[in-house]
Amino acid sequence: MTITTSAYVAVPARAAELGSIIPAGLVFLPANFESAIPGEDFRFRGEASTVTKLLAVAGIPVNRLSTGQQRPAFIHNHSHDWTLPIIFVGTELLKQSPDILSAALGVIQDYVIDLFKGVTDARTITAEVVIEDRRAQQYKRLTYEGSPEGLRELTGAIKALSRKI
Amino acid sequence: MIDHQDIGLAYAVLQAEVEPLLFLARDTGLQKEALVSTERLIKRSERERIAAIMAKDERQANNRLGLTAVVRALECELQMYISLKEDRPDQAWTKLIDAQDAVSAAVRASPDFTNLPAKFQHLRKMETWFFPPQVFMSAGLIVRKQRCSICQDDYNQCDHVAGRPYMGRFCTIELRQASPDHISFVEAPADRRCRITSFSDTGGTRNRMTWVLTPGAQERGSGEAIIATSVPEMDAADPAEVA
Repeated sequence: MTITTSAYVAVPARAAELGSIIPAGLVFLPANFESAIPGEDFRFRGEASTVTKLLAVAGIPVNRLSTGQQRPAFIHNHSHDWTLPIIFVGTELLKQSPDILSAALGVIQDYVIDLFKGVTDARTITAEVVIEDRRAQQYKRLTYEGSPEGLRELTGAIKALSRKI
Repeated sequence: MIDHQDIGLAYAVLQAEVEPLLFLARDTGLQKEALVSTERLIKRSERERIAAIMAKDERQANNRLGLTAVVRALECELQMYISLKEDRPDQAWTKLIDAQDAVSAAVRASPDFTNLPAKFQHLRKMETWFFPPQVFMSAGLIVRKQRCSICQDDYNQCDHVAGRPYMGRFCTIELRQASPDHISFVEAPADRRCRITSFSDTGGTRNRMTWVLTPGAQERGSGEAIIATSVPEMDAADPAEVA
């Protein structure tokens, strides 16, 4: 299991560049958020649709970044592992609802464990969470790679990081 | 009316008949006879699954979905041994992976089948007992439309969740308007049927499983070109569906 922290592009500025506005609440960013050129379709990881449903049932609304004009595309990798869509959470939301991310990750974790039950191979789950550090005017990306059971470690890392911002 | 006890007994009888035959050394004729029994129980389980769906009995429908998968696993394992002995190792590999998938499906179908992870592990080990190392592939697709296999609506709009059983059927996402994005070589693919089956070699095309060289085909490329094919048959998993 590994969790790495890296710098991420300024999310609102980048969204504006692509003709979009960051909605309130938890937001799924497209996988090509950093590399897309204006007008290019947003490509979301295929798992985004399922995760949106699971979170909605759990009372955790989530929005996909959109320009309102394009039809989103979905990336489906026929691979062994399971990749979460990139989740962005702003400072305001973290302050108002500090447990929203851990609740969301808990819902996702339960689903993935259920999905993989009966399969005794080690399965890897990849998750990327982008957090806004408004004071430092920076954006940090936490990347998790490991077992579904270890996903709760990401929650701890997010909390530790959010205490500093 | 569905007789739950009766089919349970039928499965126990089948297990007693088939389990002793799940070895490579067992007689091929006996293994083929056992396939008649597995097919019979699969047909019966499927009839009862459909009856349960008609009766809107979800627990029963999911149980029969799982039971069909468990028996299918036995059937595929038998077919793997038979194919190996009849010099059809590529087909044997496919049957082994079908058996693994069937075990995994049974566990997800119903809480009545929770004791199967050891069976799955046993089937995984067979990959190295009976077959040479494989080179696996994974395809990446860009998809414009995702359809729910249960309600046929846009998957983004319905309430069904991929991978879960609903009234005797698994929800999968049917990928529409898909275009290929990339193909990569991976150690752990989602589908272990996606593998290199042959490559060009001096004098022809070499089968990766049997190592047999079929003369003549290397002229299609230069001397160093690799011609790769994958997935000779896909009878258990639609490549355009994901859980």
